[in-house]
Amino acid sequence: MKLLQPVSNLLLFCVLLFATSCNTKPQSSKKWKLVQETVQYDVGFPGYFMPCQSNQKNEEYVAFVNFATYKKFAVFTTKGKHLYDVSIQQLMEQEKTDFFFGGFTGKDTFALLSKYTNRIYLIDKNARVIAKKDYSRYLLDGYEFFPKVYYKNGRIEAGVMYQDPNYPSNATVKDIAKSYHQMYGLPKWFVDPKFFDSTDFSSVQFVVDSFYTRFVKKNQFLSEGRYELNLDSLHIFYSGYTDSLYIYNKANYVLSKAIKISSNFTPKIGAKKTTFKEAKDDPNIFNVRIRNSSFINRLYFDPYRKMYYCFVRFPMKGKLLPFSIIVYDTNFNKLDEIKMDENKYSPNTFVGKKGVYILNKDNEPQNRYFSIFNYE
Amino acid sequence: MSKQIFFFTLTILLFTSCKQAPKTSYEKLEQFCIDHSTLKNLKDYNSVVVINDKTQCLNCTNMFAKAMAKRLDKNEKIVFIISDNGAMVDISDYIDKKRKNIVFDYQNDFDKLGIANGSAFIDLKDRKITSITVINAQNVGDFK
Repeated sequence: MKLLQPVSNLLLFCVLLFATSCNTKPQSSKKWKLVQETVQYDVGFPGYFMPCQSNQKNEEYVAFVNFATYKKFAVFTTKGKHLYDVSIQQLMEQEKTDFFFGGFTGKDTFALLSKYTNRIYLIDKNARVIAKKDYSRYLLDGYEFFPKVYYKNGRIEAGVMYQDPNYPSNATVKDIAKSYHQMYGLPKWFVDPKFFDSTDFSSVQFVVDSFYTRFVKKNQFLSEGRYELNLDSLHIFYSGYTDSLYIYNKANYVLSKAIKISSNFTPKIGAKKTTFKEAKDDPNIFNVRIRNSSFINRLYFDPYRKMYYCFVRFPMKGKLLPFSIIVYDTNFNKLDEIKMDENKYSPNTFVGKKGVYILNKDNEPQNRYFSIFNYE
Repeated sequence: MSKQIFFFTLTILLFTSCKQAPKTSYEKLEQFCIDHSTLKNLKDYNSVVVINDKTQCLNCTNMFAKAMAKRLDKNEKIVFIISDNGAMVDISDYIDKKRKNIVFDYQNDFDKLGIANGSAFIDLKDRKITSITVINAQNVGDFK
């Protein structure tokens, strides 16, 4: 019997080894969990929201914006306490322009971008202008600014879209293709480190060029917003038409690496591209293809838990937006992927100290409800 | 007993079969307006304006909404269906007005009817839809 003891121990060891070797999940003891069912924001008007901002006292805020109809935004603590509303109606009349909400630049200061005219404003909570700089000179080169606008320590940044100043009034498919192809090769991002000097444009930079040429062909056409995640040292760009994240080093805006995203719930990420001819024949084709595609929807960084959340959207089910959340560590090692219940949640979110705030489906037009999850 | 159940079922079937769901696009549109407003029917109206943000050209919808608001003030025989919550499209010309010919549809239930994909101008005549023009960059200038 004693002779058999080492053999039985070895067998037990082998069985244990075999059993544990089948577990291919990343070695993470962390789990995705619901930490708070509902946080309510009594906004008082319908609108979209802008993510929170932390200041040195670790306070966090979220703004709900409606510039189209109500011409104002409401600021809340992330806990749901209403702080104040900022009406921009008077500023719109005074400056004779519509605005995009650029984002928070501090607890009581905000960035605004004038529509189509490239003027950037910093305002306080009484909608008084603290500073403004007119970048309309770049419209002549076809560069039109788009949100978000980022401000930090005198440096302003914004998205750029190309509007061909030589676009013919009766454009042919060939003209459209030429104009768009020009856009694919041009910069996507604008930087001015001297925002407070309204006459100094010497340090202005347009960066991240040729972004779309990586995945869009000459005869293809795209239509989408600006997808980017702006961090202290990295700037990550992505698109509904590619399966990758493109990471730029902010020191020189050189592409440092591309990360391919794959989901357990779809074989292909990236919306089907449309040719100019297809778009001319059927102007609605973009929407149909986006609705029926899986694509990278949003990327967030969680500074409290040091991880990224990549939201992947799947083909729509009626009006529902199915999606999953891929959790990555800071080196983009995949930790987990969570398929969310599209009947309960929308892929609209912001990250706070308490976790990931995900918009509930059953919102009322005047109020917003979020559930808080985290991966700990 | 089973004979009684049979006749009872037959009677129920007969009654319920008389209640038909709306069939034509006009009937669907009229039923939608009745369900979402105080309107009783569409017989006094020549046109329906639909405003929502389900479009490739948001600027076009904003231009269309502004232009149509002038016609609202002229008391034309138009029903306005506002299928938008006003976050992306400026509906300020409509929200404070208490008119029976404005139908608010913040959740965009109109979309489910399958009548028009986006903002549209719909002509009505003799209880029929005679034309549907979906608003785009090419035609928005025609609506003033």
